[in-house]
Amino acid sequence: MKTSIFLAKAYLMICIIVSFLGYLITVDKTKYCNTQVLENSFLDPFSKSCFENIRKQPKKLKDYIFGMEEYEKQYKSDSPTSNCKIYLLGTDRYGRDLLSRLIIGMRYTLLVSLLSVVFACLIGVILGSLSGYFGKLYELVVTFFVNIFWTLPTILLAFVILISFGRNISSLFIAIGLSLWADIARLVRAQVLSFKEQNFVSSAKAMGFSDIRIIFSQILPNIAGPIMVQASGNFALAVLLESGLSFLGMGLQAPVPTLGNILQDQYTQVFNGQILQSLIPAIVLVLLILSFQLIANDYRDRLDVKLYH
Amino acid sequence: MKILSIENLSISFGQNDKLVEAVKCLNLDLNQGEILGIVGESGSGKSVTAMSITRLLSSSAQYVSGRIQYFNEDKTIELLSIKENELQGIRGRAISIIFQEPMSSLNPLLTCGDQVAEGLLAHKLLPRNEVKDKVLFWFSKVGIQEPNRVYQSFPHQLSGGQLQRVLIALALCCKPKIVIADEPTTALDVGIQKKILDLLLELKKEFNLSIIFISHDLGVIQYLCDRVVVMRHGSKVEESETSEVFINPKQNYTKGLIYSRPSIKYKLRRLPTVTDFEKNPDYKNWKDDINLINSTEQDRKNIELCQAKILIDVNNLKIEFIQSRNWFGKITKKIVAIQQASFKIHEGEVLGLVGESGSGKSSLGKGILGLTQISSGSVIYKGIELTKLSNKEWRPLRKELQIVFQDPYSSLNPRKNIYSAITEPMIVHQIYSNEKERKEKAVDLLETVGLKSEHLQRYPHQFSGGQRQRICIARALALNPRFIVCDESVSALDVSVQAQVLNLLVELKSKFGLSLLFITHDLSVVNFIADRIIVLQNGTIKEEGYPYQIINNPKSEYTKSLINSLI
Repeated sequence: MKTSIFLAKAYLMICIIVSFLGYLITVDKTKYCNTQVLENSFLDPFSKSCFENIRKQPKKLKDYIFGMEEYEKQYKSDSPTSNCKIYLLGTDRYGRDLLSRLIIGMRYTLLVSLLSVVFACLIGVILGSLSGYFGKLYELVVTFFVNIFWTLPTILLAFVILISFGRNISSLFIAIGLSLWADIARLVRAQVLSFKEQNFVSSAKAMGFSDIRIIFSQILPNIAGPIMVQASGNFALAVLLESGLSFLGMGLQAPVPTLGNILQDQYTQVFNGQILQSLIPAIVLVLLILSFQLIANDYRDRLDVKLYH
Repeated sequence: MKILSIENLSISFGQNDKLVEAVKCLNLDLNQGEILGIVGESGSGKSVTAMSITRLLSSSAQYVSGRIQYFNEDKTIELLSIKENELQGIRGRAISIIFQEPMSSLNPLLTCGDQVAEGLLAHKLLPRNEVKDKVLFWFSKVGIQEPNRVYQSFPHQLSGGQLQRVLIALALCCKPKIVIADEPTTALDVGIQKKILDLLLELKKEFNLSIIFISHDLGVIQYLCDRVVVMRHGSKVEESETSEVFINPKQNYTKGLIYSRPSIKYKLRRLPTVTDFEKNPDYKNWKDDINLINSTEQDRKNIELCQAKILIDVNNLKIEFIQSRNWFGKITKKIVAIQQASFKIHEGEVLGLVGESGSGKSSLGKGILGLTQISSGSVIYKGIELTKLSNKEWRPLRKELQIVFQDPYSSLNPRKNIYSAITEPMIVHQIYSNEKERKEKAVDLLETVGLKSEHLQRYPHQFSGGQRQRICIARALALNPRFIVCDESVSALDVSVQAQVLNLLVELKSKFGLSLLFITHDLSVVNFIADRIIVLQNGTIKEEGYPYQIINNPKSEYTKSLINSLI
């Protein structure tokens, strides 16, 4: 395995594990890591502060998974050493711990991207295989819609959906999914068209298999590889789109952290001299998209090797 | 006089841990002006040997040992050790190659004339303005009727035979001393095959060529070559004069290869196979009275079959393919694949369907099974009109009518193991109630076709072509069919494997009381297996009759030419 692929996979694993663990490892255990301590705002990375307002530890399992709903407001200006803590990546303008927000933000970004890719694959695979296998009217209708979705600018389509159905997770993943399904449908259609001519499909027909059975049990297992390549490439696109929408204020709304939201909060820090702090969310995001792309390329290369040897 | 000599050649493919020996310690000599035939089955290393002469093998090939010498007048050139740019001058100029697949050996984006001209220009044999005349000269030399038109044509506009002639012109235009012909006629129809072979013989005489002719087809080798080398698993099995090899083969493998090929001269009960000769070197009684079916017996059997019930009755069947439609969906151009075909298949009968490529024989087979749209006519199976059935009504009939395809590589789903390939149809048709019974039946079927029960969990790519074809047959038998269409089922197989599969089919036919529609281009195969033969040309039935009738006194001109072109 090439080093770049290994690094990409390792980074992705870390992102997934970290966002799974979520509130278990964040310093700020409140929901959305939204503990605002204005005295702590704009702290540099590794700075130590003893202003603290969390004293209660979560008790129930629910708190560990979804964060704590309420917290005691207790400001302490004296500094008992036990309550002091180090902000590894510093804080934002409201004094929230940036690392905690990044971890939870990663969770939301990955969740939305995953849902939208699954949604896009579902539509794309079903419509693509129907149009490829049956042809005729199916093909006409599906290619018509594929063409329409290709002509629509992605961001504009997402805007329309988000404005009409509200800016929550479900309309966000539908908006992103709808802008990704056309590629998958086209790929599946082309693959099904070529496999349809293979003899094993003819013999399945001669055996009296139903069409649905032929599509799902004979053809689709053979094109799972190319679909996986397309899907992992689309994951990168979905992450990018989600962050873009959040950055424009059209994604999940504050105080929910997503990588895009955090980036939008932080990017002005460049002008305040805290370059590192504004770059961190951007770097996390770029690496995430890059690793998805690298892994998709790696899949494709491996499929090619299978084809040509 | 020796012109090429291969000494102790060994070639391997792959990395250190997975090294495959393609050629092992091979010694060969080619004399001036002779045609040397290299014959062997797939994987015998014959093509690898030929490609290694001009070092055209892919980069994963390693020349482990040996040397190849080319004797040019008084100079000796070591082909395996000279530099790449010196070799460029030899390729095409001194040693040229005619490839197997004429369709894929020419660049689809260049005209045929330009591609031949490029060879002449590359070797700087002629000034640019004389090249075209030279190409046209060679085109007429290789028997192309309209050289000017072919010069301007792109490969897809020409037929296979014409393309093969272009390739021969390409190989000969720089006047090489040695021509390597790698299965040049395998992809062509029988009629064209003979013309190409005659052309090669003629050109050889005229230009005093030395030819290495590679083929899996012993008939072609016998017709063409002066000397034969038989190869197996990368090594030489036998080498001798052609007449000697065919009259008095010494090695068991060679005997097996020669005798396992069905013939149009006699009809056997069971074909001898290579294993027969290997087990019993003195195996001679393959052609004795017990194994031979004489004409009186054939007559008796034919009368019996005529009295049997009619299983399938095809009436005025017409199949058309739509080629283009206009804006409103109206059909503007169509191709007629089958024109008014009528015939009957009796219970327990094997009907052979013979025709060249494009004669519509495959469409006919698929049309009967409802896998292709039928334009008009009727197919009646046990009183049921098949052409008007909907998909749903077809389903219960599917288990009685089965098909085995030509290409065993694409007929099995690569993602399904053998167990699910055989049991899935049983599940669909709910033949056996539980998994245990299905598994027992699957094991039973595999053993019937000569495979083992431990093969069940394997995937198609782990089998050889012959084994895959057996699996396809086992799968077709899984539903206890009454009728099987064999669409060129043995054409893609090696001779020795072909004999085994044919024997298996004959055996299964009598064991299960099957009726077969056996589609093939090979008259000798159909003579072995069929009870009755139909000859098809351009979608029309030219002749129908019993094998010995058709072969001994053919009535139509087309059948006569088919039989004459057999080698």
